[in-house]
Amino acid sequence: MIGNPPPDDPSLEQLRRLLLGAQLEELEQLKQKLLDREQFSSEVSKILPDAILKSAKKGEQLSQAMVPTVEQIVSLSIKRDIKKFASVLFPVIGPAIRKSISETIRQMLQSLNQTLEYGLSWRGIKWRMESLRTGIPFAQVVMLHSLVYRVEQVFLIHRESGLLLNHVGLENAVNQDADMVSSMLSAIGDFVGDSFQVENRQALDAIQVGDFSILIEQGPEAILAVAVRGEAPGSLRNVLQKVLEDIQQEFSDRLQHFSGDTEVFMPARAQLMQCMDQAKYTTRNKSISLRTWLVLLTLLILLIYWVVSSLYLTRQQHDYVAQLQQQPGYVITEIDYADDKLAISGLKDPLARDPHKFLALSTLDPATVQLQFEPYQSLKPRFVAQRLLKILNPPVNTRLQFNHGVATLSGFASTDKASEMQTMAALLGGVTEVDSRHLKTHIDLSALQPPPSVKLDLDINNGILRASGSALPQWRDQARERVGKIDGILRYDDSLLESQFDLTVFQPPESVSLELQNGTLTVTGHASQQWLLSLQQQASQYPEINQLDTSQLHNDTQQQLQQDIAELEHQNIFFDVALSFNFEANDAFNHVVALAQRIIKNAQQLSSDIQIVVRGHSDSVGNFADNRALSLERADYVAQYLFNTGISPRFIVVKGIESRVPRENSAAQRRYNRRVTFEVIRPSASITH
Amino acid sequence: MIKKKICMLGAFAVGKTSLVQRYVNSIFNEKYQTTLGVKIDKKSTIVNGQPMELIVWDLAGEDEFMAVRSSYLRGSAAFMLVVDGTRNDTLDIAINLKNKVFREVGPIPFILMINKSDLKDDWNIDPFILDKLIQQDWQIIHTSARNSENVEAAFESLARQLVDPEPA
Ligand SMILES: Nc1nc2c(ncn2[C@@H]2O[C@H](COP(=O)(O)OP(=O)(O)OP(=O)(O)O)[C@@H](O)[C@H]2O)c(=O)[nH]1
Ligand SMILES: [Mg+2]
Repeated sequence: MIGNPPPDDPSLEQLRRLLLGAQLEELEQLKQKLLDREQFSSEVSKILPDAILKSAKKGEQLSQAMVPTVEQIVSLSIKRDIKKFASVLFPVIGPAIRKSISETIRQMLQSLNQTLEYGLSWRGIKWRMESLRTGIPFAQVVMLHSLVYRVEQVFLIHRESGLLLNHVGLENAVNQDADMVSSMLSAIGDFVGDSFQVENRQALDAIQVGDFSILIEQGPEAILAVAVRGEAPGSLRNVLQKVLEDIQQEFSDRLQHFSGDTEVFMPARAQLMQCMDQAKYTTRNKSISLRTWLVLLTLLILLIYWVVSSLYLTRQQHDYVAQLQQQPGYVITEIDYADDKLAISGLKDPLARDPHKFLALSTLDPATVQLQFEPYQSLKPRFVAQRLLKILNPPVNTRLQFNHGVATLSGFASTDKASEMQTMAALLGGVTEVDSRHLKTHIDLSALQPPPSVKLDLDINNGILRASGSALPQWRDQARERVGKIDGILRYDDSLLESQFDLTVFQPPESVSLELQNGTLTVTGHASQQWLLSLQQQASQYPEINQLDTSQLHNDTQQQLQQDIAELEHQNIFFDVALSFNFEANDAFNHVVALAQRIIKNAQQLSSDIQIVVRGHSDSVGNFADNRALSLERADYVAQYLFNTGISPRFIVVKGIESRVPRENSAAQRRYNRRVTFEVIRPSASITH
Repeated sequence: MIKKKICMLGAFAVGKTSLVQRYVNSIFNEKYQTTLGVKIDKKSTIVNGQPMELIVWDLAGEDEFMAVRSSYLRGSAAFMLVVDGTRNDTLDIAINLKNKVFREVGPIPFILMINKSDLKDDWNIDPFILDKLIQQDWQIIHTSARNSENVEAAFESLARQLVDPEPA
């Protein structure tokens, strides 16, 4: 009510004194107090603590006003004496750092835990599918599902114009221009307010769509709207109210004079962030569960197994391929390692080793290896040689060599086989020349000197010589020995050669021939009894001889004996009338002795029992008795003489006989009757006289 | 950052939405889809070297059944009055709307856009009334959302008045 009057107006001064009187005095005193520094500061110090307390209760205004001063004080203090400051902070800073580190670790473990939980549970898989389907990042899907509620955006809106003053939001939650959202929100608010004529513009305080809602807090000049996902608790509303009140208070001037400059609302960000901090998630156990550990461990083991086994597998595959590539007769054109399968294709000489055989040697699963080889002919010497061998099929007795394109045939082969081999070899690819100079088609067997009874069979291709027929053991042994020295004979077979019996062991005389057939030894010709006996004796000792056939053998001894007997029985020893007789000079008698001796010897040999009867005769002149005596005398006489020559008396029988017959008719006849004759008898047989 | 709320006002089908689309998104659509309630767009621009964001409220056209909601007008820094040059009655509606805004919000800057200038042959605006408006210092611009004539110029001109407001 105090105007601004001109100072030098005395009437006014007077009026003042009249009106205020004593109070003027008090005012003067008050003025004095204010001007006196000392007094004023002591007055202020009385109320300052109270004032600060009250101010702090009211809000942050005082604190904020003091921030620059405090900051200045602190920085000044540090500048002045940093040690002092450090010692003040020391007890705080250690635990703070420790706490910060342990918090960081705890969060890491927790996020791992959650990842595993979401990553491996059925729920987690479902969410991952959802992420794939909708294209929303998995982390966000997890967030959305495990969320109880979360403030995603905060709008500070100028109530009147609907203009956005400030805005904070989760980075990935904002997908509309906040300015437009803000205007739309206020438009909607207006629309609702207008349409339903709600009292006092307290129109809209929440919009809800599904699990998404917008909470709207209306202040006199500002609107606070928060976008909330999930079930917002009642407490959130309180937070909003508190924040909006703070903003209204702090920015009341700026709100009232807002003309589109939003810059001035930048500091409100701090308050808006308070709303953003409101969120709650369902998290299960904070500690890492046993399940998580198990899963981790299993995963680790599986990973190691997978790495090792796939390394092992590829190693095996490479080994196998390398093995194939080194093999002659293979041309590998394509190798395909697909996953755990191995596909190999190329060319293969039919003579090359079977690829499945190595496969069996390696530890690869045959089912995982696919082999596809087209046949081709390798001209590598090794394969040409093999093919030569296969096609020529040289007999054992032929040697085949292959060197620098030259096929050399040596050894022995039949004429047919030799020419066949030469033709075939010349036709084979990779063979430039066929050398068969040293291939023989004949083997000289003359060194064996086979007897006609022996048949020789030669299989020149196989080097087998067979002897059949029969031969003496000597020849057999000799052939065995000689055959070893003949080139080209690898085997000698005389199992079919019959061994001939060597009949010379019986020392047959030349007059005898022996033949052994079917166990029967046939003797032909003639031989002495003595030899025959020895033959009989020896033959019984040979098992080869079962039977002895001597029917065609003439016995020399027997014949001689019969001849001799016949001759002896024709001999006459003639006497004179008297008995006197000169034996030595008598050729006839000597002849008789020789015969008798031989007969006895031979008979003994033939073991036939004989006796020589010496018979005396006389003529018929004289009387009978005398003549009889005389004839006996004459017989004795000859016998005696035979004894003298060494003939044993047991072979001699003496008999006298009167010779009546034949009747003598002449002197010559009578002379004839004066004689001694001989007769050979066999005592066993009956002797007739 | 300076933000300003401006409103598009006018009778139905005069081309408010088309003008905003032309200005904000540089597109034009022959098809008529009437706006229900309000549609909000935003355009960043630079006026006198100063960045500015225009929050454009495209309101549903006024007709005999529906009046423009006064609550939408609150907080507007300026507005566009749109008239269809081929329909004389839309000018009357525009004048009424201008009075309404001045009543509700106060004397804020505005520009009268006579739209569909590409159809000038068919224009049917009473020149007498126009003269009177010019005498009252109305700023009048002939525009075409179709061939974009003067669209940007009109909006920029309005924006300029917001940076450097004339004394009321
Ligand atoms: N020839 C021509 N046609 C236009 C022009 N501007 C708008 N139109 C056409 O006029 C019709 C109405 O346009 P809108 O922009 O939807 O009109 P509006 O004022 O938004 O109408 P409401 O939202 O119903 O109030 C549409 O078919 C537009 O294609 C123009 O400049 N020239
Ligand atoms: Mg429209």
